[in-house]
Amino acid sequence: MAKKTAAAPAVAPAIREFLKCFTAELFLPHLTATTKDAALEEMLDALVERGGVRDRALLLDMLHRRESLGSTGIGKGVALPHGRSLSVRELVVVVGRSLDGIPFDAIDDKPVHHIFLIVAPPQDKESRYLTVLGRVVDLVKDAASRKKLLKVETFDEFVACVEAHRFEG
Amino acid sequence: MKDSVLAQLVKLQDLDNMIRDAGGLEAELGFKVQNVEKIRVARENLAADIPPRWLKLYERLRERYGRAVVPVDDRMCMGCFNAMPTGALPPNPNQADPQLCESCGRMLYW
Repeated sequence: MAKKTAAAPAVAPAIREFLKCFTAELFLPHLTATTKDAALEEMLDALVERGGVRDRALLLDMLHRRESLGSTGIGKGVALPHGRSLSVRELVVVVGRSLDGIPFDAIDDKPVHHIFLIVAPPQDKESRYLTVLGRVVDLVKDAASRKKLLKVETFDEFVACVEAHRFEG
Repeated sequence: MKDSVLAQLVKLQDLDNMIRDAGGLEAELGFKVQNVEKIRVARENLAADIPPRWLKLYERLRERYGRAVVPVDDRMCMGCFNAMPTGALPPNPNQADPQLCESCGRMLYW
C-alpha cells in the first residue's frame, strides 16, 4: 500500500507576499561585525552590492539618526533598524545573524543575534513597510521562531522557518 | 562639510516620515517607538538650519502633496510621473538650490 504523505500546508498569499521582501543575497547568516555601527555598515554593504541604493551615505545617515533617537534593539536578541529613505527604490529587508551576539544598546541590554534591516522609499503608498515591519515583529516575538532562526544556515531554511510560523492576522 | 540644501531637506523628510510612521507602528502593531519627542526636537533643530525660503517651500509642498522631495527614476518625476524635459540634467552636486519639477513643482532628487 502506498504510504500516505501529509500535504505541505499551503502558504497564505499574504505570507508569500511577505517572503518576496527577502532574497538570498540579502540573507547574511554569519555577520562578522562586533559592534552596532559595523553591523549596520556590513548589512548596508550587502544592499549596495545588490544594487538599488542611490546614496549609501544618506541611507547610513538615516539609520544612524534613527538609532541615535532610541535603539531599535527591541530585546530578546532582536534588532529592527528601519526607516524610509529616498536612497532606496523599493522596500527591502536585509537579514543578518550573529551567533556570538552584537551589543546593540537593546532595551534589555542583551546582545543581538537577529537583525532585520528594513528600508523603504517614502512613496510606499500601500504602506507595505508597516505591514512588513509588523510581520517581522510577529515572527521574532515568538520564542520558537527565534530559536529556529538561530539554527538556519541557508536562505531556503530561513524561508521554511518563516512559512512554518503561525502569523497573526 | 555642510550639507547641501537638498540633503538637508531629504533628511528633514526622513524625520517627518519617522514621526508619521511612529503613530502607525504603535497603533497598528503595538511596537512602541521610543523618543518620538526626541525625533521632533531633532526635526526642529534641522529645520532651523535650512534657509527659510526653502523650508517654506518644503512645508507648502508637503502640505499639498504629502511629499515635498521626490526621486527621479528613468528621467521621470516620481511625484507627478511626468517626464523630465529632454535637456534636463541632474544638478551639479555643488549647486546651491534644489531643482524643481517643471510640472508639479516638487523638489527633485536624482
